[in-house]
Amino acid sequence: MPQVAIVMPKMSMTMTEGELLIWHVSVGQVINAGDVVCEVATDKVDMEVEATASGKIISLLGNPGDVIEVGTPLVMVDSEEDDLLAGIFDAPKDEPQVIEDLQLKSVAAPHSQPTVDLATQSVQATPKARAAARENNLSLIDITPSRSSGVITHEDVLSHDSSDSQLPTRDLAARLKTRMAIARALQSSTTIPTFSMTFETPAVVMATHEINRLVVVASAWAAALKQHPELHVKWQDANTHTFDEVVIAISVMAQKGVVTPALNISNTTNVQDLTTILENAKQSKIALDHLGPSTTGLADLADLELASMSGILVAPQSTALTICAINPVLRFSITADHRVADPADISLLAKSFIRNLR
Amino acid sequence: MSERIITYSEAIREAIAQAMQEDERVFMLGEDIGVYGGAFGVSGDLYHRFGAERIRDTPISEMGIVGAAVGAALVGMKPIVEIQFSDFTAQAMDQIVNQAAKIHFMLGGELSVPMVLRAPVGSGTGAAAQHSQSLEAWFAHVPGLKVVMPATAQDAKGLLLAAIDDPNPVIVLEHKLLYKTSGPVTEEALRTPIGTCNVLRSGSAAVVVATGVMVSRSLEAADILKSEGIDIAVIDVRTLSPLDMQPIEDAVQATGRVLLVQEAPKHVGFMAEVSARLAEGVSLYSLEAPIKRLAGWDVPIPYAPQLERAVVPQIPDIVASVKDLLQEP
Repeated sequence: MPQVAIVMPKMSMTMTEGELLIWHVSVGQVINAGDVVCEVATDKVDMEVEATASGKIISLLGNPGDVIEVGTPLVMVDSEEDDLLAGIFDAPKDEPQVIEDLQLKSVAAPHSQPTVDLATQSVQATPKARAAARENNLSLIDITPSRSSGVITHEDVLSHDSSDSQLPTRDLAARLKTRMAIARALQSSTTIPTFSMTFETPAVVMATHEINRLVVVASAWAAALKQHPELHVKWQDANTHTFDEVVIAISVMAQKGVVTPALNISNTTNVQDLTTILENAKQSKIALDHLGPSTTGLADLADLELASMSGILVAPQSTALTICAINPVLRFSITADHRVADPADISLLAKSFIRNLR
Repeated sequence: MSERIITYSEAIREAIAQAMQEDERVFMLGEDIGVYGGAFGVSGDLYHRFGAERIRDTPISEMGIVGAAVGAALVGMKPIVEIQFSDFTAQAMDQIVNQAAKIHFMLGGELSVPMVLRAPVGSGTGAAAQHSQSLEAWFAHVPGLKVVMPATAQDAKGLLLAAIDDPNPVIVLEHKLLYKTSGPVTEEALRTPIGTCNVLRSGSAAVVVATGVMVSRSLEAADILKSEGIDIAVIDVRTLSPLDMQPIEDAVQATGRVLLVQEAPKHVGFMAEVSARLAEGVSLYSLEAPIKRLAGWDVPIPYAPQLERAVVPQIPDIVASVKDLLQEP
């Protein structure tokens, strides 16, 4: 049975270590994910640490009063779960596998369906279908028309299984843990003064496969940041601090929402390794050392054909890149921390990025 | 109640005879209704049974006939006007629209015009453009007139009796092709209430709403569709003014699909009103397909029999339209 570590969590953006206050569990005890294992004092507040895995506790790695770094194991658990994220992105047990497959496909497939092109087309539905959707609190966008005309009928609404064909972004209940994690992570983002700029350039030949494209874009973006080290900095203590390495938090759409492995991209990064890491992320599997802080963000939302995107920065990030569309033009948005960069700087960064892509 | 099978024409004659027996104020006037028995033989032997005073032959002047009837009605009589072809009401429109329909309102309700105007409508007899029209929308558009279109022998009798009872002018539009058709009719003077439509057949796939001769064609189409496993409801509008929408709304809400069938040209026809009422009300939220109308072409009725048939809905047209409707959306 594999051993899984429950680590000192990063509970606020500024937290680097925590003081262990009290254990709530003991060796040999069987715990479930979500159980409180201990209490920890951070620089701001005392908080409970929840188990991220289920199983039998093998060892407790510390004593009350110890100051422990974020990411350091606190508890070792004998667990059935080999997923280091303790299955928080896994589908509920009762959910049929076939639906998961559908969901993955609906995320990964190129957007050829007119009904999901939210920006340009309204959904056609019969009045009766509209009334039924309203009554059942369904969004017509989620319903697949059975008729070749593409018009949604009453029957389509009735036969719509709310778990079927639903985009993961709508499955709020099942994603609660993810949402809570995101809420925690973004709490301090609101204090970062950001601005966003959108750039458009003739299309660049790029892989249609999402992961392959991400690898190429990540490399070009990392190279651009290295060409502009003055922008690849964090704002702290009323000054800028240069990052030594480019660590990109790459957003990947998995079943239960976005997962964001933080990947160190350097000249020596192996493309095949990167592809494997991202493919695993898509299956909600991320290695612990890919959960650390990142220096910049990257999201590829080209399948959604966005007009623009105003991203959010997670400290210590000072920039974030969003690919909005790739065809017939390449369109991307850059969000930046205004304390470290001006729009003119970002324009130069964008030019470098485009040049690197080509 | 006892019923027997008689023709639509006989049912009308029976209604007139019974009304005349019930009420001595009832009399009839029109062209060739006396010894000749009427252009379509409807008055038949009434002249011999009730005499020249009550079955009054008139000169060929529709304006004069209707004017005389309006005057008689104002002084307490209950005239039944027969116009030989409904097309000729054009000659009498001032008396119908500006006099009969208005008097009650313009005289503060002091007087009323309990007149009945009967007229044959429709095509299919080779009588060409000036003798084949379906002008029901003209009358239905005039406040103060009631308009009925019997589609069965029973209603030919029942609606006429109700029209004679009514204290207001009622236009009774009879279809020429129906005069010789037969159906069960009660011997008693049973009234068909004006302001009620008639659900003749229930079905779940769609509802066909029809008027006049299109009612029997729709019923035959329903039989054909039934043999193919398609169950449709058929509703006879029967009284156009006042219009009874409730059973139509109910059927539309139950089926979600509606076909409106009329013989008259589609443009600004009566079914446009039914369509609008459905679209204005809650039935809209039950629709699974756009409201569909099947109507006559927007042309004068041609003389050539093939063309005459082609420009008004026939049974296969109704069958095909229902199938189209079921394919929607």
